Amino acid sequence: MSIVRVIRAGLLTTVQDLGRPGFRQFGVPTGGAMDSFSHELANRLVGNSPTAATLEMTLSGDELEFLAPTLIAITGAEFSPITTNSEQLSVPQNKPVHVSAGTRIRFQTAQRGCRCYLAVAGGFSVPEIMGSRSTLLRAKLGGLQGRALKSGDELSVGDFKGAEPDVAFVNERAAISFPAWFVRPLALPAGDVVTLRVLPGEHSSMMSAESQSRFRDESFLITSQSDRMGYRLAATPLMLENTSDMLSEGTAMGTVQLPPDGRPILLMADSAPTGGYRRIAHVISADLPLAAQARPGQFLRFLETTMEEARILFQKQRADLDHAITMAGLMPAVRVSGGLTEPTGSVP
Amino acid sequence: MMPSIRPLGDSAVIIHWSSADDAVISRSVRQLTDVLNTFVTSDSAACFTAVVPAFTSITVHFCLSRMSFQQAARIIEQALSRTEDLPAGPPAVIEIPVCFDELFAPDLADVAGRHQLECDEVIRRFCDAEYSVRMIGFSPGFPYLSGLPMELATPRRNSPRLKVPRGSVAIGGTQAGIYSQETPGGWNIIGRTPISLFSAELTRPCLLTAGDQVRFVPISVEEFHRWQDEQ
Repeated sequence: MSIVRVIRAGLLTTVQDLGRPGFRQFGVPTGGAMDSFSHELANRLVGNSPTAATLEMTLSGDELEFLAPTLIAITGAEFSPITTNSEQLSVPQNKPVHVSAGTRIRFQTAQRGCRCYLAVAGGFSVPEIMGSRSTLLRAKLGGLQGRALKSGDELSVGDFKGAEPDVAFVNERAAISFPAWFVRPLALPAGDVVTLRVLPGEHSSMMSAESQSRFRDESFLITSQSDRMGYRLAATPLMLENTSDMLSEGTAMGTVQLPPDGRPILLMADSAPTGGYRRIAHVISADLPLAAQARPGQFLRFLETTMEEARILFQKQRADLDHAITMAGLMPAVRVSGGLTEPTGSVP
Repeated sequence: MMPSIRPLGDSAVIIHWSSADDAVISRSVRQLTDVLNTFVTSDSAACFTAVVPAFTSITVHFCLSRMSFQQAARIIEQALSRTEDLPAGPPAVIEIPVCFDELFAPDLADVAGRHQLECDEVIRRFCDAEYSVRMIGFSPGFPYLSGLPMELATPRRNSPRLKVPRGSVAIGGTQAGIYSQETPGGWNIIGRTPISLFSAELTRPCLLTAGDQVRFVPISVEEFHRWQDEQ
């Protein structure tokens, strides 16, 4: 069994997978990777199932030592990972990378984006709780003892059970080896303003006409009071015309709530399954990975779209993930036809 | 009475009842939740990822790569027509032991004073009532209970406590609840139960489900500790 040792822990690194959606009725947040696209992409590049556990690093990464040869993939935010053995080699993202025993990799600070994902072939092996390995920090459950990684931790890697990806590129003697191709990663936020497409919320018409137009036209600062539960946004307060109390009811990741103070909250992966604030918008599923890559200090803009477009955009994203399987050589038909030689990724 | 069916973003549906009759809504929510839950475990294309009942609504989460809002809404409409023929099975009744000793009841005297009752009288009336679990929320396993006698209704404290001990039984406005985990909280604490409402390691992690009936049974400090030791 392979082991990954944490030489030095980053700011906030947790074990994540696709969460535990079926337990929302018991008051348990779904949780799981904030940017589920990059999580799944990393898994696919090493031949894992989408539900295998990855590491989610936030803003500043860890230094890790791989005690055995391991196939890894790094996706999401750009953390400029480098090896820190005798030679400093930069470790590419968005492709499978073979790491030899004893290799250390330091993930630096995020140049672009907020969260990166590290998958290992076989997945990180921590106990499953309520059908998931994801860490739920507030409830102190799942992942590695319900907490973020700290220096000295050791994570075991599960036995690889998936389809073997094409590993013709592997050079056992090199610290790291990787193929020339790479897959198209998630488009990371560029610039200070991140535009997210939204569907209207049930209560958007309860805002004054002036607030409704400001919600469409203004940018909202992601404050430092933002985490895996949600982003607290700052702007001139939006006003509700009806401030009567409502009974708590279901919410979702992507729901934009408006509390009486007029400052919207974008609910993210670890948000409570129910809430008693008015819902003024919902970020579409296809844009949630982008939302996860926005960071405090950046601004969000909300652009209204339709249910039909939301579904089309989501399906496009799924097609990108399927393409990653083809590239990793996991589809036999493609392997025979030699489709592997053609990289699709444009230079990011 | 037909509820409204509306989107909640692109991958969830909220089913909403609007009627004055609390008991009717509660029953409708329970019946439809039971039917919709059969779609959560099934492996067919028509599957939901979560069904979340609340006071007057049910939120259904679905997988966007497998169905659209329209398809999800259609399944829910069919499920609604099926619930009409269903006999309303009796809800499960769960007895919860509570110690009302002042050790565990920092707000009991306040609640009694506000309503000009003796503490014992508050306990008697609180335990005579039968409660209905309307939803689980706030934190894993926290039940929102309706059925609190009107004369015990007490507004939330002006400033919430930073730490409410796990198991605290509390009154918040016209509702009762049990703090399933140590969390901040602003409800009036009148007792504590030694039993666990939420255990992540169990197949069914939550003691209570929306729709269950609850009764509180007073126990002594000694019994409280015995219960606790047995767990």
